[in-house]
Amino acid sequence: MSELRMENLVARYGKVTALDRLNLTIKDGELVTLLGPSGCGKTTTLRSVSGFLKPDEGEIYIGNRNITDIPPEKRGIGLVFQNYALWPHMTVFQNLAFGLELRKVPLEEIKKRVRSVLSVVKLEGYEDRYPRQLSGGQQQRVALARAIILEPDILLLDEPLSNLDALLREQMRFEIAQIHRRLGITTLYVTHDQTEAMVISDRIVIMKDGKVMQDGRPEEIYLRPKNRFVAGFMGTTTFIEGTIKSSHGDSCVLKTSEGWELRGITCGGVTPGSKASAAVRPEAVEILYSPVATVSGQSHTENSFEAEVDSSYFTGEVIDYHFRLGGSYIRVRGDTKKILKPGEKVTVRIDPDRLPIVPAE
Amino acid sequence: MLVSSSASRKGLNVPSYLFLLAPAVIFMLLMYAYPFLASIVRSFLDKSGAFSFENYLKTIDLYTKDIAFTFSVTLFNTACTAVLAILLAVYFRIRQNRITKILSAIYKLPLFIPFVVVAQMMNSFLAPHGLLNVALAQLGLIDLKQPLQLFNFAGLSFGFLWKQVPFAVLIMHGGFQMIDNSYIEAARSAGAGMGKVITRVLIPMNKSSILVSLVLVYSQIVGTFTLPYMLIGGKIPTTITVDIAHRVNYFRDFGVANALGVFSYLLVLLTAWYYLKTKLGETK
Repeated sequence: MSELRMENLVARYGKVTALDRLNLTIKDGELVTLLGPSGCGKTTTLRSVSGFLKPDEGEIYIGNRNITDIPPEKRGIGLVFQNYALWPHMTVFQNLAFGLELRKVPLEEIKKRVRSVLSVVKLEGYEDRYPRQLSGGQQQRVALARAIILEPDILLLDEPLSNLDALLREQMRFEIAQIHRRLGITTLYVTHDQTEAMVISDRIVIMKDGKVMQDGRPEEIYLRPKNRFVAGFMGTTTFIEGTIKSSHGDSCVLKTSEGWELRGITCGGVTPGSKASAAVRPEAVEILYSPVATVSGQSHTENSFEAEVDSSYFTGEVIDYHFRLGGSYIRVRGDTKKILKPGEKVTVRIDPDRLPIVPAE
Repeated sequence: MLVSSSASRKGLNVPSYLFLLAPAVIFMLLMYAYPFLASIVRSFLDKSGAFSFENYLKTIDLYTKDIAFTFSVTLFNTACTAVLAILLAVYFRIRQNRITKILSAIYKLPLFIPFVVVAQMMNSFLAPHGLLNVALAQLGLIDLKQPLQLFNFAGLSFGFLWKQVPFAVLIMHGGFQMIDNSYIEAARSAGAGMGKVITRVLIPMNKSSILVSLVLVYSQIVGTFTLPYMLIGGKIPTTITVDIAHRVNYFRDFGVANALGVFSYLLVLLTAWYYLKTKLGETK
């Protein structure tokens, strides 16, 4: 069994605590992504698991095996680096065969496994090429092949797509997800790209200041953020502040300082009377181009408000509007067929089923 | 490109920007190529100025042992420098602690000491009643009545290594530092211990600077005069450089001196050939 378990991990760099009692379990065959801003501790976690950093406290297990004090070369972990780290003086074959040679695998078996793993990453026939003769995407695939050819218990990927161009990065996300599904290796993936994390992960762990802020399935993290940090980190989010007026099960009503009422999804245990923030994402906002009657800025229709265009940006697919909504600003995506000018007033409706309301910080 | 096309409009065959190179090329021709070629030509002239192999026959007759000695001292010291410098440079690369900080500050000191000073230091350090023999005698390892005789191959090697190892480390260390940690970590996660990381990853990845440093060390040892002159002098065997000085100072025999010079060119040519062969291989 290749379950990866971290118990009370603490890592410090001088006075800075990079990991603050981290507890995390990755089930056998699961792909978990550590997501967070720079300095949140995700790379420190990965380096602790790989053995290149000794945590100050805590223990790491693969299955029932405590690997905390085991050197990296004996952990049975495959690593894929941001810069691929393919040895430039070795051909693709030699890069892939390196670990097998160290394990004294017979040459015929090595050849067979190299061919097999190259077919997994769709690079058949590239055995004799040097890394410099490969594109960035191909190098990334060789790096992945080098990590999986040893059939590791755990696969660690450290921002493996961040050096690729946008188009290739999008393509490789799906390929990594497919390869993981095919091989079923327990995988810990580190990235700061939320879309990448959404596409490939079984589970996402959002980190901040060495702590787990939320741990859950991608859709859960996105639609039900537990706090303002997670809500702000996932998607293009703007906030409307207020106080919880009422709460009924999964739904609650936020009252703003203008007296407007917004209904949304109860997240992070907000309770009536508590300060809260509505996390508005562009895809949850609809622009009603025809004027709608409002009273003090709020329409009779639920979650509909008068908004004024503050600025607009043409992005090609959509117009990215910044609307002034009472004392707040929200970002909205509009149709390119009808372009609104700054100062124009329209009514916007925020979908209550896509409006998480989280505790204010 | 623009300069080139304007030059071709004026009917010139060479791009005009090549004239920028003229001062450097003239300097090289006058200061390096001419003396070099002149010394080769003169090595084939007898005292009357006629073409002859007389200088070479005399050189082979008198100095074969010294040529062999020079070659063996050079090869031995280049090989020892390679081993010691690689070990030190690798150590500096993979360990970053207080010891490496102190060592990396100290090892550079010999670089700032001229060969003549090193030669004088070695002269007193390695002498029959010098510091080394006295220290060994005090430790009870030798009898000072029969001190170690070190004004020979061994003492010369000690001096060369003292001076050349830091130089080689300096160049190699720069190369090793350029290797990103991820290459080492990738090897370790594939199951390599530090020994394999060094031999299979670090040294091959730094082959270029190792090669450059050893070619320079080899060439410098072949051409060093002061250290062999002050440690060995005219004793047999000695190095080619001492023999050249001897032929010129005592016999004004520039013909044999030039022939000896050609032998040292040939020794250096070996490394130049190896260096170019390797570099061309890398380019391919």
